[in-house]
Amino acid sequence: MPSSRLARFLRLVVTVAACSPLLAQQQVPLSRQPGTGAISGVVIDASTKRPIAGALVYLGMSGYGPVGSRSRQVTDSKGRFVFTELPATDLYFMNVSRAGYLDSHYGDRGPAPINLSNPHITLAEGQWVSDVTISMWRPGSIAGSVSDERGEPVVGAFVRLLSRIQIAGVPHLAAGASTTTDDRGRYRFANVLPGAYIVSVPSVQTAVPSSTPALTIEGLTPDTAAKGADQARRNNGALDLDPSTLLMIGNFVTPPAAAGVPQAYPIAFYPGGSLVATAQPVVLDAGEVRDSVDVALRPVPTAKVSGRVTASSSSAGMVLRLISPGLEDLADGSEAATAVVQADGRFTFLNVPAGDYTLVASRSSLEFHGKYTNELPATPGSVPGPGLFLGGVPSGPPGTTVYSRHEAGDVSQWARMPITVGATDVTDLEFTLRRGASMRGRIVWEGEGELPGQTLIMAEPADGSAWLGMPQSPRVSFDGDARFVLNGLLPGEYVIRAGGISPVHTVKSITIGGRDFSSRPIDASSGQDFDDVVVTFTDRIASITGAVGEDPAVPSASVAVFPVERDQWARYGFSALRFKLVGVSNSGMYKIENIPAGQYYVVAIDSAQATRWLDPEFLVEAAKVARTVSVDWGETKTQELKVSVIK
Amino acid sequence: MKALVASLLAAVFMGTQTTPSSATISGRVLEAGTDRPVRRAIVTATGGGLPNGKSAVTDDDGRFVIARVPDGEFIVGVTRPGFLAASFGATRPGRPGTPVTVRAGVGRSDITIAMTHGSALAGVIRDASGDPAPGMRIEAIRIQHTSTGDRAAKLGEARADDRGEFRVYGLPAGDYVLAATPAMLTSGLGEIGVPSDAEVDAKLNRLRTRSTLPAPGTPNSGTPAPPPSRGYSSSAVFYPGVVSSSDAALIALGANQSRESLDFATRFSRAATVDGSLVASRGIVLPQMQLEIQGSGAQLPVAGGSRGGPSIRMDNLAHTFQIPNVPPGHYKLNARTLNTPGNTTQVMSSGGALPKIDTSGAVLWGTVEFDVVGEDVAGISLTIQQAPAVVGRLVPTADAAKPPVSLAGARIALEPVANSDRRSNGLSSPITTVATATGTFQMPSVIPGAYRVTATLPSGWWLRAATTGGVDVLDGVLTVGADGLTDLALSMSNQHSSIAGTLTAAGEPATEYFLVAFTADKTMWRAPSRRVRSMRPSTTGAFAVVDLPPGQYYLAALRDLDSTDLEDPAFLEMLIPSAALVTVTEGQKTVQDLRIGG
Repeated sequence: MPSSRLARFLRLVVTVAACSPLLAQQQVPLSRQPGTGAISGVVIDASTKRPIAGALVYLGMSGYGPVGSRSRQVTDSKGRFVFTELPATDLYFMNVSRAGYLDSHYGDRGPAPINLSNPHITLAEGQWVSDVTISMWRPGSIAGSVSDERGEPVVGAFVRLLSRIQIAGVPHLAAGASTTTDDRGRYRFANVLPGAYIVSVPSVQTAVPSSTPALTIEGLTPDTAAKGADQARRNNGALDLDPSTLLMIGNFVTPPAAAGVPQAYPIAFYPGGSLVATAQPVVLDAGEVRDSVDVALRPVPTAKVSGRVTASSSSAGMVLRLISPGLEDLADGSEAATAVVQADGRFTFLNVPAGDYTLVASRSSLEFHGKYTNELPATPGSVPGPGLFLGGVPSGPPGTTVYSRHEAGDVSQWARMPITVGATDVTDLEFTLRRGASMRGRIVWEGEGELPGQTLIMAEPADGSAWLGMPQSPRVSFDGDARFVLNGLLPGEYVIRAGGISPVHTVKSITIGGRDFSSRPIDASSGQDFDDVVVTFTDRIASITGAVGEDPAVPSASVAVFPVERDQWARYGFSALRFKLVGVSNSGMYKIENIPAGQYYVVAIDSAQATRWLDPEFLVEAAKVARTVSVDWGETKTQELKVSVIK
Repeated sequence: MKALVASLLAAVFMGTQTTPSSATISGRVLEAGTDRPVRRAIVTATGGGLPNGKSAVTDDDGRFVIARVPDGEFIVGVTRPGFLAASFGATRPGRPGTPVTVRAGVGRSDITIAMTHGSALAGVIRDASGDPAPGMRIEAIRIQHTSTGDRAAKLGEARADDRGEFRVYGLPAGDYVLAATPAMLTSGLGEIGVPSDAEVDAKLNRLRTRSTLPAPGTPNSGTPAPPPSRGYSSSAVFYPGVVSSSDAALIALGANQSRESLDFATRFSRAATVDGSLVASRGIVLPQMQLEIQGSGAQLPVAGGSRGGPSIRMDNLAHTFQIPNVPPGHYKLNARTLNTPGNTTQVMSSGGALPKIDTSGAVLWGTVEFDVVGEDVAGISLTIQQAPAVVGRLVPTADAAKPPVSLAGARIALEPVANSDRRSNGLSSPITTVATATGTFQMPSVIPGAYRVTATLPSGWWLRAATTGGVDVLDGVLTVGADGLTDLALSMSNQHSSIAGTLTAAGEPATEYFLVAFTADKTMWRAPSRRVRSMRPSTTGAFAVVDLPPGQYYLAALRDLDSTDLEDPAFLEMLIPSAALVTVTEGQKTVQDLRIGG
């Protein structure tokens, strides 16, 4: 926050010291050097094929960013753009944006939030690539209203889209965009990609110990009158429904008690009901507008669920979550109720609607997100720990990210049990926290070139099970103590991955007691620790390259490689080492760099099919027409391909 | 994500346990001016022994009951989405309320709180070609007119949906400016080329006709190059479709009003290039200068408002400058040497090492104003001259009982302020000097502009006036012109006045209150002002305001005080009916006790 004086005026002071022009020339990156190439083309509407005027075209160079000082150009009335004086490189990419359309990219064959295979434009010195056509698609929208039992609009209610996705070949639920209803109870999601969406109105019954100081929970401060309009509707109160526990209110709407029985609005799904299994997905085509997706909230009587946790180390401050059936993949903002363990191990959930739940005790949570970030409030009472991870999930649909969070405290402790809540209070729920497994090991460098600097050792749930969480990833140095420890592997399957290494380095093997786990999950169900994990790295990377025969019916092709072993087509975590998809450049070439040695299927497909290429059913069909290529460490194989249409 | 205070872990289980009590605070929440109940409102009592507050939700009749309230004084506040937060007893939304006293287990059951429905600003935002502009961020900025100028505060924002529709709701009544900015700022990546059809045709023709490979670096050899397409900048656009905040329309929004059809269009504003040169006054050798450009109008708290502004390219050898990508507007360009007193603006260097600052040379400055209306502005001449001196002296009052032995070490400061035309001279920290034993002082280089005079005097003395040309500027601003000043007289006194007393409520010290002492002379209602002061009483309720300049003052007690309230004449006006009027005479001590609630 700048000082008010500074903020008052637009102020920019730049002093330029005289610098030698010769020196400046040497420091100019490739993307800033003038050249003799040119790229021109047209932006069109994918459905009408008409040119789009006023689209903002961005020309970038992979690894460098914008090109020149005018890397952005607005298309003329004929949808045309011309970039001139370009240096030669095979790294050009183009993005295009225009109000009223989804962002699009060079090579896109359908609406997608990111360009999956990232095809590049190759430009030689003096070359003019004059035939670039970039298609754009209209976004859809989903709109409706939220009302209460009297038919009155509910103002400021959160509404969230959910979608069913596959992670590593296994079905999951992902969180999508969220918004709030306006003062008329209406909501509207714009910019929605085609797909099937579940519309939900979340409602979390958040209980915290009465002793929690006000300052620790945002919004729960003594002076409501002094709050701004935004803050005034968040967390701004607490009901003392129990002597030791407060129910936080304000984030979600709370109805008053009826005849002395506390009530709650349970999570609601369109067209009604509080179970995701009964939700009716809204299926949206490209550019489709769906209105009147209305959700009515109905209050239900609630009960209190209390008990005690026993644990070998302190469980105080741990957040317990009650999760409705089918929502196990979701984290903050999707629970039916949350509670915080007190110093003596006691806990109380307040305002719990009747139903079946999974009670989860864990300090690590994980959630998949679609293109949009989550705007739901964090669970009050939870204490964020140091581990926070937000990253892409290449094993999910395009644009999928995973959001992993750790709360402060011992991340190894966990419990998970089904409970059923009826009309009466549950008062004597007792359970014991168990310990997750730890993994100890070291990294080994087997390469020939320079040592890589550092790497991040990650344990990813093999089948994407969110409740397993992601143990905090240790950073390990190649030139220092090469040992690492991963704590808190919950009972389930994990894969080990190495992050933060350069594209010229790769993991060669992952062994435990001499057994290889580089393309197989590790089962941590027994709770036993793993003591002799060895992750070996190499710079003898393998590559497959070649030309793809031109196919007039396919304006944009991609090449997919995947292992020939079918048991590796699912449960490979977030980032599959042996699966790669690349775009075919304008020169007809493809290059798959850095894959582990082994036997692969290689297939050229229409980029329009690329969004579902990781689906195991797609792989079965693709394998039938694919070429088989064996590649060894340090080897580059050449394979000519023709585009195949996969059923 | 910022839901929690980082150091919470140790604090979670350290809260205070409140004494059980059977008292209740109950009542109703109604829509202001009606008898319509407000359902599902959250009513919270805070204060006393309830650090977390205690809440209740209103039923379908607007009724609430807050049970088990301990003895104490409580503010009862209420919130509901779409409504303005309110407090029991408050005169209007957002203002402090009247405490509710619970004593000996007896509460109150007749609390009625009026809530005002928030107002809304709604419309459609379109792009330059008339199509809806989805995703634009629309910000509602309330402009409050105060004695020190307009104060702007962002009170709400919304995103335009796929139809370009936006709706900012839950707003208090007031005058608003609507600003639209791209959701993702496109500035900072360089300029955007917006070629016309003819320009695209010309470029394509040149590509078609070029026969041989041109050598790198000479891309335009052969056919003469057409002029490069003009740069455009995308910055905030204000309702009704203007790029300068000073042209933005003030939208009057009433209480519980929904203003619809506030349609406007965004646009790429044609950016101009401004160039010019520094011209030295006679006898001056130009050193390296620092340039700064200020936009016109009040800087509004718009997303990215201070980013993406024009940057200045300077040639320090030729003493020329060029400012590309300047959106339309009125600008002021300030130049100064780097050794200027008061100059602590961060200097960014694009040439590697920071330039050496010559601290020995004379302080030079220059300023020029210009307008940009889309066309390039060339040949601006910025005359550089020597900064003048300000000379003055400290004058102990004639009737002073005993003047100080020495005035050496007294510190005099000139704080740069934005003057009445909302422009500053670009300085960001005070220019200071110390007086000689006889009280004379000198500031050799003061860049002309508006300043506020302050002084740190020997113990026991206070500054009562600062005169130049026979006018006291201590309560206003000192304007330094191109010739400087030679007659700045700072009058000091050791005769102390005070207003002291005790603030009580029901016979007890009212320690939770604020006291405000402010001059009865409304022309002096500005902040910061030595005639408008606030303080908290001690734990015994005792308070004292010392060394107010002679005159009549109002003394008021209030439950809550926002740091900016004292700048708001309407706020001070509101305090007068419940304030005590006290006369301050130099050297005289006045006793004035105050009781809350009669």
